[in-house]
Amino acid sequence: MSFKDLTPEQLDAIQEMGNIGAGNAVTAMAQFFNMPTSMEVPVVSIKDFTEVGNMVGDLTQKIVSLKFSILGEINGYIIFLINAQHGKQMVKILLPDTDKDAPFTEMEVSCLMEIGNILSSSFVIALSNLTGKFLAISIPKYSHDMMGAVLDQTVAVIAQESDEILVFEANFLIENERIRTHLFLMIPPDEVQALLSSVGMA
Amino acid sequence: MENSTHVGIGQAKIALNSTNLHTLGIGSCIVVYLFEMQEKYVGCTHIMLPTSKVVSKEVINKNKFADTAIPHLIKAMVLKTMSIGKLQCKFTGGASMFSGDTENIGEQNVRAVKTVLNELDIQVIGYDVGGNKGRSAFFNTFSKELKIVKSDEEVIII
Repeated sequence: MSFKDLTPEQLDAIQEMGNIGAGNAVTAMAQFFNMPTSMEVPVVSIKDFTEVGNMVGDLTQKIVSLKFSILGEINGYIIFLINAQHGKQMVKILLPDTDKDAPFTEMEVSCLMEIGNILSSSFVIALSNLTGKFLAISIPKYSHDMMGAVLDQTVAVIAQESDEILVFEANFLIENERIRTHLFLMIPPDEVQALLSSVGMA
Repeated sequence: MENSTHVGIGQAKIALNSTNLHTLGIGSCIVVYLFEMQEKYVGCTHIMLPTSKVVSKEVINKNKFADTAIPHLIKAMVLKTMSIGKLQCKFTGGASMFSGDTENIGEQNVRAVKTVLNELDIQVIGYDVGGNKGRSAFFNTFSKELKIVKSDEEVIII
């Protein structure tokens, strides 16, 4: 299938899935940190794979990123991005000895992975409950490098069969908006059909 | 980056009239430059994946795959310049960005690009590939010098 064939109602249904997933994720974050946590309204869009690089701004900016594969009846990826400074602040909530100016230690990376895990799995669990599909996520893969470089492989894999990608984008704000994180969920077109049919919208 | 064109993911461009080419934030992708030393044009393609053979559908964007992107670029260069002699090549990219990634598309891309260039009898005069750092590439169309800046600020000129 192609994304061009999607009706406005189907797009609404996809948007709603994104909202529910992100809502579940932000609730999990708030409980985990026990701090004021919020999110911006998630955006669902269909992008040509060549545009995906543009949606993040500066491709050479160094960013901390965690990549999760979505496994099970629907395949896709979740990419969790946070700039290093905000990543340090987030880790510091859990590990008070964190040195803001030093590179990430092994402990701090594993702490970030855990936070990413909670966020991504709560997103995917909500999606799984809603669609009745079996879904799971892989263990996270970590990279601290140029934005463009951490995204290109994921985009390549998803865009293998199609030039279009479905992208959910959500921003989470922790500790009264002092810490910003960014989550992308990317799904190829064939998988979107499965999502829609599960809620009777195919 | 005055007078320089960005070649993004899945794009191919041909530079004429001393326009330089650059690509920012290259990870597992490979950016290939084709040229003749004495000529003023350079073709560049930003490849994402090793082979189109695994794809069931017809490939619309030929720039995605090593086996389709390089012949596609050469065809476009022949059309634009009317004649083409013995092409030479420089390329960069193919890093493995995530620790513990078993897919290792970067490595597959490097192997595929080398195979395709070999089949087309294109002489490779320089490359910097692999590793686990992102790169930005700046190609000088006049001197054919390729400057690569890695995310740890290491600079390589080939």
